[in-house]
Amino acid sequence: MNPNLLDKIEAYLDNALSTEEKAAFEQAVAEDQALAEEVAIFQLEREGRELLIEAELREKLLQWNAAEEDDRDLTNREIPENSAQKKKPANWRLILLLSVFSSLAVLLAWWYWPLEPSVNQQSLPEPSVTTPRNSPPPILQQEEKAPVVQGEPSIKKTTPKVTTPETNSEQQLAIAYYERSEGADVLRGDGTATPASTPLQAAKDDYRSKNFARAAATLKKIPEGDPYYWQAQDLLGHTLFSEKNYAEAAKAFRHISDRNNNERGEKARWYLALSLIAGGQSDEATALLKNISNDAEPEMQEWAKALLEALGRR
Amino acid sequence: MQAINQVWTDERLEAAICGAQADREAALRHLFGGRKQMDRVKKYVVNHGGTEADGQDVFQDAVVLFERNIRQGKYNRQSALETYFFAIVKWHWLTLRRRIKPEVEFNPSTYDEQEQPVDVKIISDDHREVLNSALTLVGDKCKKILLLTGLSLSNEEIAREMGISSPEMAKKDVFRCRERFRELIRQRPGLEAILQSMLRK
Repeated sequence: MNPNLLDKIEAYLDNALSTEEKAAFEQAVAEDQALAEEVAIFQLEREGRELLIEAELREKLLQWNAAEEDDRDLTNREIPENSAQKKKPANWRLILLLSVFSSLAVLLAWWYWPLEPSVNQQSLPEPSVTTPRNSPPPILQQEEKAPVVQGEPSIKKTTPKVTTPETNSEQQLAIAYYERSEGADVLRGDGTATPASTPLQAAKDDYRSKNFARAAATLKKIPEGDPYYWQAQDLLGHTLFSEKNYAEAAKAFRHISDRNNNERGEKARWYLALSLIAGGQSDEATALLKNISNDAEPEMQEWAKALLEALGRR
Repeated sequence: MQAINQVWTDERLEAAICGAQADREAALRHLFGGRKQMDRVKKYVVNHGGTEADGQDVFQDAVVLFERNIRQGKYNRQSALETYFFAIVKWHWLTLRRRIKPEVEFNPSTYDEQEQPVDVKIISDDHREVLNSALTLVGDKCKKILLLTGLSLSNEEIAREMGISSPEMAKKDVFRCRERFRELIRQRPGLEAILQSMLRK
């Protein structure tokens, strides 16, 4: 259909035509059965979209209602009611209760927070990486995956490997942040399915089965100009990071970041910073993180700020 | 996004309902997340010849109508939002009662109709049937895209919500999904009667 006509129908249904335009359009509709049917189909399409919005809203109402019921049940179980309390809204009691529990949890977390690893310590540090002491960005809290990185084998308790604590700690920090920010994102691409027969799909399969070397080899062969080139470069960066080849990972992410002034480039900038930290180039990473914390989208700014703060404590 | 401790004024609520998805949800939850409005609606319906179950249905329908009217700019700000919501409740219940018991003459004064009539037109059952059967075939991704376009999100916002690489890609997806949906509507049995009915009006 003529795009101008599509726009005209939309404008008519949006009531965005002038009085004269509207009258002329209605005249055309009255004289042209096919056009009249097309307008009706557009009207139905709008109703269809409203049905989706309606269905989502009804579902939300049920959820909110169920949550409200749960709150009431919880409050009724936890707090014995007396006549004075009955007059207070249930939510206030719940908030009070949650506040007390939250405060206790924060105090306990603070008390038990692991100390920085040190070569002089008699006992070895925990084999997991600690998260930043301040609250991590919201998106981090939503991730299911715990920020645990495989630590040193237990046999080293008696013969600790002497490494530069700062470097080791920073690398683990970068890996922890990587694991939390990556998740299923690596294989998501741009939301469109990859045809089964493409090298990219083969590399994805290898990545899933942790055959990183073969995945990287396949991805490096995908030429620029291939419709899946940038998806392949994304996956190459993550594959190299997973292979602990941080210098090469940084190279891949830098290439994406330099050439993509969009969401892909933005994400690559973040992963470049993590690759640099993991590869021991913290100075460049710090400068990059400062940029991200100033000019990236708000969520990523929070991530960068949290990581900068965590680095500052090391 | 609105801060948690945001003081919700009518103006802010209206803006949030017409805004980004998270704001819209926060505002609607603020208005309808608790039992206050639902209990009020139930009480009203029960006092005007309905049952508790009718009240529950009327509450849900009224929230849907309220949200749609606000989003479509049909709220004229001549009354407070809460008053407007309750006007929808009253008119919707009146419409339903007339449909359920057309033989009964309803006296508007019975309903304490202070407010001007509001738009309580719901999508008819025959339209719902055809559209729902088309929607089941359109695919989950397109369904989500159609929902987001229905909420008037920009291509940039759609790209962000859907994890699509760019607004340009999102624009293409929106176009494809809308075309596909219209094509599925055209193929539905029963469409002919609906079109005839629509063209007669």
